[in-house]
Amino acid sequence: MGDCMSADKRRDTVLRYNLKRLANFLGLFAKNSKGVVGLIIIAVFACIALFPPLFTPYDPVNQRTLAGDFAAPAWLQSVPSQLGGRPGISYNYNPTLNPDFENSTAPWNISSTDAAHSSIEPVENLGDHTGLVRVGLMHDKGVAYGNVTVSISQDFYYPYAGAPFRFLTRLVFILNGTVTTSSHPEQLVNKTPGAPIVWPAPWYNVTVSRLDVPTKISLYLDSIAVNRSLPMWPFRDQYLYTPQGMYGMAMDGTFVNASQTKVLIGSSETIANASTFGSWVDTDKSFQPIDSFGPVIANYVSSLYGSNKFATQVFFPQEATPGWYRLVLNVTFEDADSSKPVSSVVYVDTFNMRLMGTGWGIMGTDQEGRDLWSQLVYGARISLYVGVLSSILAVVLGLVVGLMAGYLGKVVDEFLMRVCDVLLVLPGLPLLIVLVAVLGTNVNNLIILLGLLGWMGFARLIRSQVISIRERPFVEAAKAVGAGKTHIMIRHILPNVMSLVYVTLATTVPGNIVAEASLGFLGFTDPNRMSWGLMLYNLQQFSAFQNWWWVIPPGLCIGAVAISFIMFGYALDEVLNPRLRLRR
Amino acid sequence: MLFVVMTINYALFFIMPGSPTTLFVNPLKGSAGGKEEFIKNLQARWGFDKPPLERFGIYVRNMLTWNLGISLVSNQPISSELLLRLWWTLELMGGSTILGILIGVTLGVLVAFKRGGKFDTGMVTFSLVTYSLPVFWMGMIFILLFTVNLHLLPSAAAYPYDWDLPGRMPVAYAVSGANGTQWNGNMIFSLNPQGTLQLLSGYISHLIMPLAVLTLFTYGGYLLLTRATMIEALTEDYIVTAKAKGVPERSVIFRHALKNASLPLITSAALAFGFMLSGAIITESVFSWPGMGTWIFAAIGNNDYGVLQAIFYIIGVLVIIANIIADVLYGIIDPRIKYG
Repeated sequence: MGDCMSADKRRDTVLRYNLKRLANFLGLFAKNSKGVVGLIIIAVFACIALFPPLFTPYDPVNQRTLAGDFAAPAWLQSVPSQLGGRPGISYNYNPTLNPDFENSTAPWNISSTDAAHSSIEPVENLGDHTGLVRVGLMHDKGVAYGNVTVSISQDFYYPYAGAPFRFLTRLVFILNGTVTTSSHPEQLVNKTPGAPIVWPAPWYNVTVSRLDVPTKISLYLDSIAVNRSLPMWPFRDQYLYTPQGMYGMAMDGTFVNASQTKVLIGSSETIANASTFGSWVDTDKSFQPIDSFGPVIANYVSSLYGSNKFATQVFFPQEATPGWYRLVLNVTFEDADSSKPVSSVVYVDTFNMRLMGTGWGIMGTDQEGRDLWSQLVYGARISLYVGVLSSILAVVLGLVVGLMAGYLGKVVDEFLMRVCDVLLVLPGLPLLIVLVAVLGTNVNNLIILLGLLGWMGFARLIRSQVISIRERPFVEAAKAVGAGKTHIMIRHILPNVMSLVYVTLATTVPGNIVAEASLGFLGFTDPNRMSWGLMLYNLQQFSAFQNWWWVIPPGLCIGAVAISFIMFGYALDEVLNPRLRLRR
Repeated sequence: MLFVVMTINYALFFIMPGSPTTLFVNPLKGSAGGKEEFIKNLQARWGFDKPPLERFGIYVRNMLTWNLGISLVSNQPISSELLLRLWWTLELMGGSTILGILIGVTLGVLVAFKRGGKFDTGMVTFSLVTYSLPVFWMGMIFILLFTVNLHLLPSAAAYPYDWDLPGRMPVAYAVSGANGTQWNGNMIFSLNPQGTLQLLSGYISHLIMPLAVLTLFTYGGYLLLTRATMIEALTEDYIVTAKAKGVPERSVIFRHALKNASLPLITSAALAFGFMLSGAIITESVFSWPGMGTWIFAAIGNNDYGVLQAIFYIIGVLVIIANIIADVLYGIIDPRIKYG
């Protein structure tokens, strides 16, 4: 009973002593303004790293084309251009109202060149598609009405001073209920300098089982403010469906036979295998007013914000933005054959337009239209994760090696120090790159490698400390009592070097964070995990240096984290090593 | 020591997966039989078919006789390309290391002498900032400022691209002029002043940015180290004694304090010179500098082990030599240090 009491009391005293020491330490630390500032910055970044969804709703890697590629920050629109702002940037914009024709065709203007013989009416549903417009031409044998064009159009106001980066239209329709789509590949057409601009034309190869008259589907984007006969390209893409197959109309006005376009879409098997009759044609395609083919990519980055050359010439002419535009869908029945009865119907389910802006969010977008701000936020996670864990690994390794080499001495010391020397002679960064390239660009690999290559200096430091500590009287005393080597190392020597451990831990982190960023910058990192180094790697790949909103923040973040860890470490050093405190 | 380094170099690249043959043989194309034979021929040519121990023997012998072998990718002797690359790296790294040490030590001494003042705080903060910022980012900021915004300096390569140097020591061009023709011995006498001026401006305009970035990156470490060791030395008793004797202040700083504070500086400088050849991978890739760093980077991408082995070996040798020089310097500066 008495023993128990005394043990309790003893524990109590030890606890009180430790609490007092902790309070003393905290009091000293709180007086060190640099340390407090460093700690606050670290805390802010740790918070961001732990809960990125609180700071951004977007996925930094997988959410592509949120806006146009290389978009500028949205807020730059309201900054005057003398101060580096970009009043000419546009935002994402969905101009079409009621694109699904649900319940009514209200904002759409529907007209026909031959209203007497063609029919246009809203339809509630067709199969599982609801809200459609039915366009039809029906007559008996013996008459023909020539070309009958039904046009469905909507006017919209484009409010921005600059052209959009890209526009997308989606048209979902079905011809006569009996159409087969086979494939819809993306086809990029290379542009030679000086040649007329050729649209990247995806060919929707459609075989039609029963079509009474050739039917042409064409889309237009007209500028209302500017005379349509201006030598600018209206947005136009035409498909002609005939009983024999599909013909596409290229932008220069020449017809291309479906059999010729087979090469463009890939193998001919796709056509033979497609046997789903009556399927819907869904043209969710993107039109980019800029030729994005590989070699001219640097060119288009510079033209994007400089003169907006391609975008303004091809799409919205300068004098007309902002202004009124008209989105038009023309269905033309080429009714020339009077030898048989005709019943041609086109159901249109969805017709819309989306404009991708050249301005987005807090920090704009990268080369794939991904949100840069969310990349910055998620980058904090990787940086801190790698920096802190690899430092812990390195410090623990250095501590173990230093303790063993310093206390056990002799052969152990000799061996460990030679290992240390050899590792110090090997070139650090090249070796790291080689090993990462070999083992795979995995974050955990990186942590292990940074830890394994970073312990040598600390091990030497600990060793020299241990050598001086082991000659002190209290170690002598412990030995005399009969304490084992492990016990002495852990209970008597380790507590005396712990202050070095904390300080080194804090001052190793910045180096490892910068090393991680450097590897990321060289491209040796997991592309599915966005880090600050990878952000700068992407930037470098596309030489988008003029996008300062992309260049500056990642480096500042790396620097801020690194400096705050250094300040924190120095403050710890001053608090834990009283000799330093006196001197400074 | 050298042997251990060689062994590690060899083992490292021996266990590396992937083979340089993939560079020549597209795994997705061609018939299987022809491919295998082709790979076998390539391997026989490079000696990859011999047993590992024999290859190790050959490797050690070649390294010791300075026969670095041929690059598996360019099929050129590694030593000849090494000379080309070495020049550019020495120009950049040597310049920045020397500048960094000069600036860092000078400022460090000044700062230590006026410690606690505004100048001290400002310099220490600034060098901490430059020391901890990633060097590639500083390079990008320089490009953003001086190339993109001010159109002052070129952002890539070591000389104007239209010079079309066919791959000789640039010193030869410095003598012969920058007319882009193949250098030969006779041209040494056809010095063209205008050409030389143009040549100098061409080189210097390309050198300024990477050199400035690297110097900015390196000087901070020296400044902080000098400051720390100088403060340590200035509090010693012998300084007080010297001051009391009436020794002039400048003499106290440089002859008493700096001399004693310079030992850690020499260690760190020696290591910096040893790693000079490898240290600039990042800066070199930011500025597309045709030095050793970009070579290492390309060799890793191409699985060109021969080049990597040679470079790692040379770096190891240099680091060992630099350490020996540092030890000798220790003995000169501090005669108490003796090596048995």
